[in-house]
Amino acid sequence: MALRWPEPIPTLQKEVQQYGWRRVIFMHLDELVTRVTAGIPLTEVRNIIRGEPPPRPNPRVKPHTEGFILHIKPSFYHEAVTRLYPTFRLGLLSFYLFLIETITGIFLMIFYTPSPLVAYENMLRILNNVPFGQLVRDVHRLGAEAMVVAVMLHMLRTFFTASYKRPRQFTWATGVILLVFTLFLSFSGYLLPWDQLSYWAVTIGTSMAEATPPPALGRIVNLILRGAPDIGAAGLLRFYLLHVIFLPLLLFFVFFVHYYKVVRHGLSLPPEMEAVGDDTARKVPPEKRVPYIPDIAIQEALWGIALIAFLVIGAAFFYDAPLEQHADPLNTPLHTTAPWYFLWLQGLLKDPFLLALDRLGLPSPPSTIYNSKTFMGVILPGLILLFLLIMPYLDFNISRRYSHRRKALVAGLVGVAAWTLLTYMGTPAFAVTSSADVEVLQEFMPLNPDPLYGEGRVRTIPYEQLIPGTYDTRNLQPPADAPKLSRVLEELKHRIETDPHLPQGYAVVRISEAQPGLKRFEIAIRWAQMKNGQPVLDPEGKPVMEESKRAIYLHRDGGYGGE
Amino acid sequence: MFDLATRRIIGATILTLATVITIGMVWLTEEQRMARFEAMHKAKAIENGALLYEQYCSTCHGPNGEGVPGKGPDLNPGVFQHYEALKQNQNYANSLRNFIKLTIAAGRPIRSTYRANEVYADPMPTWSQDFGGPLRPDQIDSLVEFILNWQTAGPAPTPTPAFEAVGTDLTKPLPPGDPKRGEALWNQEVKQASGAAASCKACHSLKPGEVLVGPSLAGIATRAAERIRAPDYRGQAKTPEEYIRESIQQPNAYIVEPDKYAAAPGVSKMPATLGNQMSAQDLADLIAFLMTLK
Repeated sequence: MALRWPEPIPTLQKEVQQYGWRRVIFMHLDELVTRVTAGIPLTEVRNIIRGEPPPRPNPRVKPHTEGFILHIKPSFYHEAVTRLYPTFRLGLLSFYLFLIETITGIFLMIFYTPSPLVAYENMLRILNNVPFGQLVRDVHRLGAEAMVVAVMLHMLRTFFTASYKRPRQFTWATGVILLVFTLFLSFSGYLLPWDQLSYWAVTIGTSMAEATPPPALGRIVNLILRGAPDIGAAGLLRFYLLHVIFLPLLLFFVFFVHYYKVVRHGLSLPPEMEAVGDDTARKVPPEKRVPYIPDIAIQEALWGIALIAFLVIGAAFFYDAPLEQHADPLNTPLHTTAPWYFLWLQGLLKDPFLLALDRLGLPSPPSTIYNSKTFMGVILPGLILLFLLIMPYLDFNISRRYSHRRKALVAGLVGVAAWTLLTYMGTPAFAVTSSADVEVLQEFMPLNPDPLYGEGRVRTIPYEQLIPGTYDTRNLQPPADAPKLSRVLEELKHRIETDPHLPQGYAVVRISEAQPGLKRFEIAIRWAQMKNGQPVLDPEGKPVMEESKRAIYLHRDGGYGGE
Repeated sequence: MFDLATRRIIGATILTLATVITIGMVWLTEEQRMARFEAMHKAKAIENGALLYEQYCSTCHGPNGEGVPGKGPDLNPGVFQHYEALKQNQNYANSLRNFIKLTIAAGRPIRSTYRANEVYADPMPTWSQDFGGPLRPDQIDSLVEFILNWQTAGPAPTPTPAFEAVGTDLTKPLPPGDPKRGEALWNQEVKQASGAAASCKACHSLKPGEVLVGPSLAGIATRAAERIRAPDYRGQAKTPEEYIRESIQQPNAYIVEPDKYAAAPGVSKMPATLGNQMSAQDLADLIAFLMTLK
């Protein structure tokens, strides 16, 4: 029961005289709680905690009308949308992730300067000298990946439950814009560590911009995005500003439009609960209402707690955000890829149609317009995006029932399958071949961590087992007390001897001590030079050998020796 | 067993506790983790520095920092000794790290007098992009870490085989020379008596007319015979063999085209210490090889 102030407002002394001090303390506390909660008095808080039903009139809806934060939230939900299905809470999770990214991002901004001269050094400082620096960075990175996943799944869910249909077409369109912003937000953050991974992933991603037709416009778009023909100081600053100000502000704005529309139309019920063509989300019968306070609020808080637990525990024990070598514009790592959510674009650029025709033994068509970078990298993705935006307006099937939407569901599944396939085709595992010797060297000791092979087999050898010497795979005699070294040498031998492109191939491995605590590991691969399927012979009748060499250095404290 | 609300409370409590415990664990181990990462990143810098050293520095300073006569001084332990000498004799006030870093980044505008009796053909070039060189600042830092690692590790034990060097003594009798072994010496396929590779080809080409640092040695046998008859020849050689021998052991005795090949008046670009690396046999073999270049 709410208490009323007696008029006129008495002094504290008089209050105490009149009511006793216990009651006065309660009155003041009650007023404080009522103000902070924008309308829920202390007695009602007690009722909520005890799980009692609200009185009439219900004071628990007050925060929705009086408070700023909750005024955008509905005061009750339909009971059918409070379970895991049909929403899976993906929209809520996306929003939470955005908040977590903002908070962790501000923490990281404190220690970061967007300049190629110091950006990488700042990253090392965050990892080496900032308490919790690694944890916060890992949470930020893991959260970014999770946000992309959550937003994508949210879109798929909306499609499969047909929640995009009338009257929610515009909500869907804003959602597609939010998806694009989320991707670009994540992508713009990718560049900031200024390591080889980020530099080349973003170089690939932005190379599409140049292909914008016509060429003159493409050049301008490229210059605007990168600040120069190639990514450098200007490009880093631009991406930084996109990442910390421009895209978050835009996303925040569009998010409110999106959420306003969600509330305005109500959360769509599971398709099977409504008659075909009906939309009853806003007509919730009283017995189906679940009040926001306290039930939904507690549920949402629980999801928030679970999400934070997932991110913190995941980042602390299972996930490390990658940091490779300092960005080097002069040295493109083998097997460079775009971020995983843009791999499908990279897959498209590998000309899947031509490859398919080729595999089927069919002649390729004479025109090359459709397999150009302009078409595959800009026009086709643009058309896909446009289609996604207007898709609900083109869908004239009013039924949301699964059984009435067989074609749409099949189309959706085909879309997901095509996306997955193109993503696979974007990875270096598909249709990227360098010469066989380079592939072997990359597999065993890449200069940068490789998307396919990681740090490489050589770096799994513990430092103590790198016993100096020369090891020839034709006649392997590795030292007995170095089992891991022996295993890697055996693998190298097997790998080279079974490679059809390295006829009579063998490797000579030289391990030497460059400085105490620093060893040099060199692999020289030799194989017979072939001509028309026959080994080329020198005047003495011996096969002419080709050689490919690479050396890396391994330091005792380099943190190697793991699998 | 429990109703929904109770299950939620239990779940939320467990998850909150797990999060708090995780953060506590990270907190407790954070100091060690940061120290470990620092060591790891320093190790990576040394590894990168080693690759850069192999690519850019080893041609003049030797693969193990032992130096290349006539091209670059030894760094291990030379650079550390040189720094100590600068500190003591000239009140040099910068740190060792900065001394190395500045030398790499900005190069040496004048030729070093790094080692007594050594003259280097060219001064140290600038390496940092700040001064028009090819390397980024972080690459310079990696190189510095690599070079400093010699000091922390102590000089690498390189056993020096005992041998009698020919030095600058022109009177010492030479055994008969083997041109085949001389060629192998030239190509650095076999080592000199000192254990270091002969550095002739770093400065002298065998292609006619090609000037690396010193003149091309194509046709040197014929030219040597002409030189000893030249009016301005001031040396003691009477035969082409003796002329070549004199040029190797005492390059300052007679400098051809001083405008081109003198580092200072009367001082040849060719180092005067080459004889310290060679035994009489090495010298004889090299001369025999050079005499085949008619």
